[in-house]
Amino acid sequence: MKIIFFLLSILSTSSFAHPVIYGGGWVYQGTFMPKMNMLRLGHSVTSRYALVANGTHFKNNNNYQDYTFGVNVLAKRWLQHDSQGNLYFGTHGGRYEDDSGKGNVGNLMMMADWESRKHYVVAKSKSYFYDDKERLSYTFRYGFAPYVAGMNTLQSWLILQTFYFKEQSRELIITPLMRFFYKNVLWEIGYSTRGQSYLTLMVHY
Amino acid sequence: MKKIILLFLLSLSITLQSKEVVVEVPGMVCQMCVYGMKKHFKSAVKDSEKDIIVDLEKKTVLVKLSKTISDDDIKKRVKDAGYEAGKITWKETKK
Repeated sequence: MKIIFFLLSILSTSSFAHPVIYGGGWVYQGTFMPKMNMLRLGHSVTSRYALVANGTHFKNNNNYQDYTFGVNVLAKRWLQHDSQGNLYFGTHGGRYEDDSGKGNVGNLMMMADWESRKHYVVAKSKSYFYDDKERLSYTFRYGFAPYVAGMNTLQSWLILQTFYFKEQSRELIITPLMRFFYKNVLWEIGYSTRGQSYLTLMVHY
Repeated sequence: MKKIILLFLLSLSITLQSKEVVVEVPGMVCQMCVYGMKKHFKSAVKDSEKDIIVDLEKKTVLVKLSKTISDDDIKKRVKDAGYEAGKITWKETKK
């Protein structure tokens, strides 16, 4: 059991676009919950690395807010005929502010995913270094596509997401959600076991 | 005179032919891959909606080219989209 939790923790993200997409691509993304919001603007300079700007708000964590800028790197991509796996790292830095003060903040991110046309698994960990302490968030997702969509048809996914960030909630937040992907637009809606709505909007360009 | 007729027929045959290429792309599984492929082959076709057909089932990209490009160029475009090109099959079709 400890091993499973460890693996989920090590491999676990909060939002699940690929941190790096095709060369020249842009990503605009917003994830919204009543007490937790995240914004991301990313530009993949090549298919190997992307420059990203992030904004985060954790209401329960002393009303924490940050604005960071950094780099995401696709460290390794494994391509099989019917599936792919990816390993990403990211490092971001910027400024934070909460009820007890403000200062510099740094993030380290590690994310791994595997996907086929029917299943996908994502795990991400992200650390927040500020106020002389490190705080870690972990996210894990499993998604299942009830049908296989073609090139210009709506793709739907049923997803179970778990999120843990001790400073924000002190317990695991489990969110069943639905993902829809049509052409270059993705949106997700869900409702967590803590009674919170979940919305993600994302556009690739 | 014969030469002129021959040249005319040759130029006619060129204009009446267009090239299509099918590229195998292993691991291409997501809708976003489709968008990335279209973005990187857009400059080689007239209409990216009609002339670039991504088959996620077969993991192929069919491109109806409006200009001449090489195998290396195709491999680079696929790589820029984040993938590795597999087998490249050329087809000539008469319009």
